[in-house]
Amino acid sequence: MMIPTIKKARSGLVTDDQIDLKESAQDLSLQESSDEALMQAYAKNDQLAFNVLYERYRLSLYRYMFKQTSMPEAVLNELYQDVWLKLINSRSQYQVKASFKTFLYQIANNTLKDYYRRESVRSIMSNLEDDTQIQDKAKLPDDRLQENELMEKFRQALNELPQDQRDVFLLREEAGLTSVQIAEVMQVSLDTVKSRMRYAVSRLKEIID
Amino acid sequence: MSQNSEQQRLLSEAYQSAKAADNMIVPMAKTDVIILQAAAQAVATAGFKQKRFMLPLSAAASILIVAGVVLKIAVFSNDPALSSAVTVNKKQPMYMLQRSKHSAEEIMLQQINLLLDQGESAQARSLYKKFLDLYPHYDVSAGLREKLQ
Repeated sequence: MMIPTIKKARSGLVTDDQIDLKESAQDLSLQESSDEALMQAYAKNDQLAFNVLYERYRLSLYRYMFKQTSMPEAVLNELYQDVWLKLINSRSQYQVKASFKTFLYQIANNTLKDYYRRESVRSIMSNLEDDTQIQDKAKLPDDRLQENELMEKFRQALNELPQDQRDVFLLREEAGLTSVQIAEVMQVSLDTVKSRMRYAVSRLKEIID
Repeated sequence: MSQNSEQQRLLSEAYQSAKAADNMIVPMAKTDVIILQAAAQAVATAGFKQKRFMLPLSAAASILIVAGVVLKIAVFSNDPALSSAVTVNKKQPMYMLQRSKHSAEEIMLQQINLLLDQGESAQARSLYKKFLDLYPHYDVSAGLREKLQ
C-alpha cells in the first residue's frame, strides 16, 4: 500500500505543480533521512516524516507480530494499531539514545506481552470453555500460508518454541535486529540473547528436518 | 561454535527464502487509515494546543502591561517632588517632566531658588546666567525670572 500523502507528493513531480514540487523535494529528502531523524521531525509535528516511517516499518512490524502467535486477524490488527498509537503518543518523549527500530519493537514486544498476560487471565477465568473458538483462532493464519509448505513448517516449529526463543528468532529474522538491539528490546544480556538464539536455531532445525 | 553459526546462517537463509510467502500478510486497509489519521490528528492537536496556549499568555501579558502603566501613573501623581515639577513646567512634554525629577536643570534651578531664599541675589543671578548658557531653551517660570531681575 502506498501512503496517500506520499503518493500525492510524488505525483507533484509529474504534474509540475509548484507546491507539489516543493512537497516532493521535501518528501525525497525525507526518504533519505534516518529513522531517528524522521521520528524527531515527527515529534516536531512533521506529518510527512511519520508517513515515511510508517511505510518503512509497516510490513516488517505486522509480519513480526503475525508470527508471534496465532490470533484472529482483527485482534492482530488491533494490537498492531495499538503499537503505532503508543508510538504516536510517546513521540515527544523520544530521544535518540536507542535506535528507532529498537524503540518501535520494544513497544511491540511490550504490547504483545500485555496481550498474552490478559489472554492467560481470560482463559483461566473462562475455564477453557471455548476450546473450539481457540482452535478456530489457530486455524486462521494457517489458511493464509497454505501456498508455502516451508513457511508453514517454520510457523508450526516457531509455535513449538518457548516464547523467549521465538521472540529472539523473530526479532532477528523478521525485524532484522542485531543481537545487541534484541538485548535492548528484551532487556536481557547479550549472552542471554545468544544462548536463546542457539537453542531456537537447533530446535527449529530439529523440527524442520 | 562455528558449527552453530553455520547452522544459524543456513536456517536464516531458508527462513528468508520462505518469507516470499509472506506477501499476503499485510495489515488491513482500515488499520492503515486509522493509524495515519491518528498521526495526522496528533499533529493537528499539537498545533491547536500551541495556539490555545498563546491566547491566555498574550491576554496575561496585556493585563500586566496595563497594570504596570496604571501603577506607574499612580505613583507619579502621588510624588510631591514630581507634582511641583509639573506645576513649574506645565508646557513641557511628558517625557521631560518625568526626566526632570533627577535632571541637572532642575537641580540648578533649585540651587538658584535656594540662593534667592538665602538673600544671595548676586550668586543666584550669576548661577542663572550660567543656567541660561547651558539651557537656553529651558522654559523658566515667570515668577523666578521676576525674582532674578
